[in-house]
Amino acid sequence: MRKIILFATFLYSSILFAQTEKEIWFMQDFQISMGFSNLMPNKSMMGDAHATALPVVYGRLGVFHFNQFSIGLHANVARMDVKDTQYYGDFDKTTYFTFGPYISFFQPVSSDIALQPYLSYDYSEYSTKFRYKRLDYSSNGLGIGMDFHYKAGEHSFFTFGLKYNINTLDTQAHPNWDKYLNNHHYFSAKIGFNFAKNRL
Amino acid sequence: MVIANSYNIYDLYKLIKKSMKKNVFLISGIITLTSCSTDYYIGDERTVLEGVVVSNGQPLYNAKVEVFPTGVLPETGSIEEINRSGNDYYWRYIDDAPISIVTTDQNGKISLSFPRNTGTSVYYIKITKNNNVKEYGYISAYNTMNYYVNVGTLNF
Repeated sequence: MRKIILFATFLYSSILFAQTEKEIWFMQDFQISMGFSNLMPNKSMMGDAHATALPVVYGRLGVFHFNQFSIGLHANVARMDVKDTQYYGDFDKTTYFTFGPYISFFQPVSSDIALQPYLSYDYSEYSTKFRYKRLDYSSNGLGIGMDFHYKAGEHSFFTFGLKYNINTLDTQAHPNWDKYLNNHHYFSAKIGFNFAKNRL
Repeated sequence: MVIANSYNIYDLYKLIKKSMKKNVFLISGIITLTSCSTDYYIGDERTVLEGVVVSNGQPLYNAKVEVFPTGVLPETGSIEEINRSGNDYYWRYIDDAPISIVTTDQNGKISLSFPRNTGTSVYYIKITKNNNVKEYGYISAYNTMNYYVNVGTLNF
């Protein structure tokens, strides 16, 4: 109990100090970008079944900012062509929508360039329709990414990002097939604009 | 001239209205029929199906293998060639699309997976080679263990 009180006091005083120094701010970071997904997928049903997703539309909103840290929400939407139906089923395209929270760390490396590594939780919903049938399923995932920002204006940046996605489908399957049918790991890449205050 | 024009325009309006009504009925009918025949699948379960297709004792290469859902309720887990006579009532899925389409490899092997159909847990296999068609069934809870079914050797 004593430790909790000490920790709470420390946290409160830190936040109070930060507010005094204007190190906390809200909703001042927005990113919109486009890119590719399902790049270099692992040996998996999803990876084997689908071609590269292009274009993927990404959006990200920083909600809470504390010094170089940001916590926010991200989302993206894309459609992938089905190139191999053997273990996936007879469908031609898959549309998916991903959203979840993220935490990032903004690290300037020069007066114009900054890096922003981040971790994200990715919940995805997939849907596909073809010849009088429809399939819906979902996955949970973890994203590990890095954004490279180049200053374009006072509060704007050109952004290029790479992310490694570790997704697991919510599918019950035979133990011998579980890994192949459920795990879907891949890279995604994006290019776009970031608008942020109190950064470079 | 003005009166004649008004009359023609009114006629045209009536004609459009009439044809619109027909179109609305036609489109509604198509939508109804389409929505009735849509099969829904959920990816919360996936069944893996494996087996071998032979013809005259030899592996059958490059035969088209399709898996369809069906309303038939089998009483055993044996998988054999289907004789449709007498079962017509249950073949409501027959014109729907297959959930899986694969071809046999050089050893006649088939390996595929399909998600769970929300309307049935019974499926049958349709094999096509050189305009010859045979159907085998049924894949059901009787022969599916832990989301896996081996249909054994199917004689085509």
